[in-house]
Amino acid sequence: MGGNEKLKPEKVRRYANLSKIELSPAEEESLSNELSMVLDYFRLLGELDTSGVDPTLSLAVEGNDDLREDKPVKCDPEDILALAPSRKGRFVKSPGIL
Amino acid sequence: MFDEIRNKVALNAYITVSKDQARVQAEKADPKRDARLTSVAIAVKDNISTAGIRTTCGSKLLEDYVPTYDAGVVSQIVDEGAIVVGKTNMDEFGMGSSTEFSAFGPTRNPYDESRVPGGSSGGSAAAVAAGIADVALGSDTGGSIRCPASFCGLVGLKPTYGLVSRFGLVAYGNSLEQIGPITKTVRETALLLDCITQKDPRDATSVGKGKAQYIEELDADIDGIRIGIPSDFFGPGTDGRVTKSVWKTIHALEEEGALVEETQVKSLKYSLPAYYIIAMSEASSNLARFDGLRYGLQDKKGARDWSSLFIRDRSDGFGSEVKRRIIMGTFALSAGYIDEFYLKAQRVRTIIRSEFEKLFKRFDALIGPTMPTLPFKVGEKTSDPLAMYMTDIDTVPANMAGLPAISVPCGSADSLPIGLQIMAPPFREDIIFKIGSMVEKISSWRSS
Repeated sequence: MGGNEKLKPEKVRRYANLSKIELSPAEEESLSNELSMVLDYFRLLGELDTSGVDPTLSLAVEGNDDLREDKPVKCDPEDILALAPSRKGRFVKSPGIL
Repeated sequence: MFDEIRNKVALNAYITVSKDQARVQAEKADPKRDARLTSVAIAVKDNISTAGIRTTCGSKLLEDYVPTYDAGVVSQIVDEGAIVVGKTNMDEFGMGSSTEFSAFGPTRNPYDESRVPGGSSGGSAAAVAAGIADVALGSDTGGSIRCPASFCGLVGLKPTYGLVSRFGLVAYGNSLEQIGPITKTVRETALLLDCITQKDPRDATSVGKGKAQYIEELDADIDGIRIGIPSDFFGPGTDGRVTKSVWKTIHALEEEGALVEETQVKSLKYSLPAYYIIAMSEASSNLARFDGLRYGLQDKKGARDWSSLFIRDRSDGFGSEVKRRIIMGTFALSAGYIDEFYLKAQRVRTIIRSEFEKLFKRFDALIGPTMPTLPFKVGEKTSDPLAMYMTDIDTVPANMAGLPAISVPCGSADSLPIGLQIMAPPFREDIIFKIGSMVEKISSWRSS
């Protein structure tokens, strides 16, 4: 996406779909304007030469990688199932995947 | 305390007041035990999990969500005798700088109710400033503790990444965020931090300092301490009254023996766009878990398949700013754009980190304003996302580099507080407290 190309409403719809979010046509239109502005601002990074620079993916302190003991924690499954908006017995109820 | 909370309901600082649970905690308290927070009334930001007390993250999607477990920090403060009095209002999932983007309505600034308290931990700050909590916990992904501390005349610390457990903190930008204190004094911030730095095996990035003793650093003198003042922190968007107040304090520190020198952080102007790309990308991934099936809001009308139910719950449950950031993050991570945006931002992050590393060879600490402006009016920036993002210009570098940073009140203009920010190398909170307590001594600001 070179230059100042706009993030058109169709494109906004595409990324909204991938994010499992549905937008009204009015929302698509306003997001198209807002996100195009934000994207223009993000392009400022293009000024900075980053060739040969490794990305920082994590700030975890090196060597601090000991794993905790793998033992079960006491928990009543009913406490967790009680949070599900719909359930059937000891299962969480969901519409079909396919 | 609970009567006062009721009297100040117009501030909208709390989403949930936990009176019954507080009574149980108070009854359990053992006055003879050697605890450091006995009977301290603490307000907890509503993205920090509390067993049996609903934790909404300021979102309609989690309006009725009640966690079954406590966050690591909550276990630690309760163990020290603190009493959780309620859960505070916030920008939904931490996405905002004003506490206006909450499904539960905006929080007001106790110093001027027509203005914002800052965000996203605005409820925590408003509660402490208004005297309806002794101290509070917030979380800071790009300034969300320091901004409201600055706007409400309080002390707020974002600890070094890894110092405080994130277990039970509902993730937004997990490589950036930390939980930290918001209090009236530097001493209280040091005390509260001392109580939450234990290593937590449930957060793989938790380093742990055991029982820390930061509180002992408070009265050390600052003679000979090297302080860098990056001119970039006083950019063109900075209010002249903020610049004046911060510089006045810097000159006073010099009189106390600090060695002050102006410097530059060349990567500063790139840190804000790089921060937003990373935060939005991480948000799009972290918030993918909210499907309304195992917990959370679910459309009761029924759906023909899982995918359409998933879409309906999220479209109905998330507010506009959250949708904006998720969609933008999905874009920045998508095939074809990931190199230009997400990976580019992570490379810029490396440049920012190494620039700070170099600066901290010359300086013990860096000082500038926390916020470029005074607290703005409610509604002033909500329709312009970019203007809202720009308010984070001075706070995001600490998150990008994982550094500790504090906001301490240094003065006021038109009866509104101004905050000064001190940044230090990783795990050198002791330096921050040393300078912070001196700023407090020489500052003209007194919280009411």
